[in-house]
Amino acid sequence: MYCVKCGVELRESETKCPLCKTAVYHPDIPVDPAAAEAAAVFPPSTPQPHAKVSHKGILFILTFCFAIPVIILFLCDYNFNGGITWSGYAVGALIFCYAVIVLPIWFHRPNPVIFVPTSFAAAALYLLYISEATGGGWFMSFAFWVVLWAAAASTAIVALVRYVRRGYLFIAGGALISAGGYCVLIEYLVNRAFGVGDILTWSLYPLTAGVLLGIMLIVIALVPVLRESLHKRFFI
Amino acid sequence: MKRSADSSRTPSEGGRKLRWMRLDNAAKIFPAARRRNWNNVFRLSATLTENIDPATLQSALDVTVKRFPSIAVRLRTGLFWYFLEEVPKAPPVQRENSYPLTPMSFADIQKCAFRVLYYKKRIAVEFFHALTDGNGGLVFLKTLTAEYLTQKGVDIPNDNGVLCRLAQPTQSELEDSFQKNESLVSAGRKEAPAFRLTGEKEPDGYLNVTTGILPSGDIIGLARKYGVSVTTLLCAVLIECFIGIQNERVPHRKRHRAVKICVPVNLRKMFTSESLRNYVLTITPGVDPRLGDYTFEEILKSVHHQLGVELTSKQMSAKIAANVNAERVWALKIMPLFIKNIAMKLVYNTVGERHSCITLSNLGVVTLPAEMEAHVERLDFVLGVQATYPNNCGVLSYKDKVYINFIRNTKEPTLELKFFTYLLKLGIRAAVESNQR
Repeated sequence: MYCVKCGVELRESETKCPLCKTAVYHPDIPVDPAAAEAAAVFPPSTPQPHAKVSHKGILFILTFCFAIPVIILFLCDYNFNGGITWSGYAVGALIFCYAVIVLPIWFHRPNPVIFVPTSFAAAALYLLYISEATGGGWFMSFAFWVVLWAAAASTAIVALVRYVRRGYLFIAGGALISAGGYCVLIEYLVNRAFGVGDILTWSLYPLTAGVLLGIMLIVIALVPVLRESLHKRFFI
Repeated sequence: MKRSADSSRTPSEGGRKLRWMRLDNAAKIFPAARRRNWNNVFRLSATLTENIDPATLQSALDVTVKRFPSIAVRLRTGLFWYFLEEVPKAPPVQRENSYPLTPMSFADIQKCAFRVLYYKKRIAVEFFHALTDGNGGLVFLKTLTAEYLTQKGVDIPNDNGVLCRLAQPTQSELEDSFQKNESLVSAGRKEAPAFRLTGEKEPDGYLNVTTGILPSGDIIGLARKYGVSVTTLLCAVLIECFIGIQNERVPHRKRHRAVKICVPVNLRKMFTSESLRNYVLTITPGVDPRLGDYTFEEILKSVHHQLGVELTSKQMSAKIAANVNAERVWALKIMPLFIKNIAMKLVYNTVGERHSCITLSNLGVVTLPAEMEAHVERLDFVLGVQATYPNNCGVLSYKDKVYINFIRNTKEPTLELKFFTYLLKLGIRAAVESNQR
């Protein structure tokens, strides 16, 4: 028998060409799989289950890696200061990192639409702790709204990308406009919560830039001819 | 003269004196270079005319191991060096697996550094490379097969590489021949890195073997037509294939690397030696594709002349000197083994396999006593894959056929396809078989 594609001669043990994987074919000679198996040069392969790394094992190790420094920090702080003082901030940061990095791994197929707001919620809780621990009282007047807007915008973007799966230029345009508005919100809240000023100053620049770029992207998305022309000139 | 084989009384089962010996110069790198899933191993097999009887094979092995105290050994760990110790009894023969050269772990090597397998009509022996090279392994296989046939009632004379199983091994068989024949000047080791073929690895470590069987008359005729040897011809075909693959995968010529083939050279013919241990050196003929497009004839000419320049006793002596001088430095000798291992492994991982794309090992024409040839249909030589490159190639010629065995640990038969279709283009038709799944 000869391979019909690459032309090499094939021994009777082959049912497909070992070089190009083309199935053995001859119009007059039927391929006999039993004869091929009898002529096989090695015993047949029994599929071995591919040893997978244990998911729970990884989670255990990661949790352990986070738990050890938490315990050490608490012990050191308690030993020197008789209570939780500075270690709260460090432990809070570790817990925040754990919530952002490790918590999604607990799930087989982590949905970013759930874990993005969860991460922001963890950030909000950490900021709340810092605000209470330092006696700042700025959480409800500043941090909460900043985190809320960022969470809402990020979740919306992620949800649109995941479920709508089209109109990426519209999404990018909206994100840029939202980013500009976000800067305005931050300056407004800074002025109100900390009494820095009365009028908006620096945030107008990113707002203008974000709105202009956002509108530009939306216009490009709305005009197919413009989109095609730009693609021709700027493709990578 | 430096003693290269030592014997000492070692407590053993039954009080029998177990021979031990140092590793030869080439073997010292193999235990150090090992990885968790890789050891440097190779395989020789003989396909007979009848199905193998495992009980007779075991009995033949029990007799044969006594004749080969440098091969029937296990690896032991000393404070400064590894050493080989004779195994108290022959290992059990095993049925083959779905692919050859299944991983031989370090723990296995410390129990017995070789194994004997059978499947249908075939006897195979797989060696850890620290024991011997292809030529030494071939003598073992021939002798084992001869003993098997003798126990089956066939009278086989002791010639053509078949040793008398009842004779005592000679000192010349056990010596480390690298300790002789070195020159006063050491050769340099600097070489350019070579192109490396990559591919998607088989997830469970499966090794794909593709064997091409071609009429030796055809390939010898073609080699004669070009005025080169068979090894040169095969080398040139491999270089041509690698150049083609590199052109497809690396579009910019400036990023191309040298295409070189590692060719082991049997030193026993050059420097008369009867040693059954490692006695090979490697040379790496090749071309640099950055210099331009090479025709096949240009590649042949270049390889032919490179081999001609390198394959002299003086050049080989200089290479031997470079290798043996390294192990004679006192500062290295007194270094504990675990530090030596770290250093040698580092060197091996950095430069050990960088200088060639593939190893092409040709054992040449293998002859057997006439009485044995009637019972042995075929012989095969399969090299194990290297640690970092996925392909290797072993060749030998028996009766009127040449057996070219490619092995790879990747899924795609890229190199094999190019090689055999190129041979077809040159007018040599190879019959191909494999253990593909």
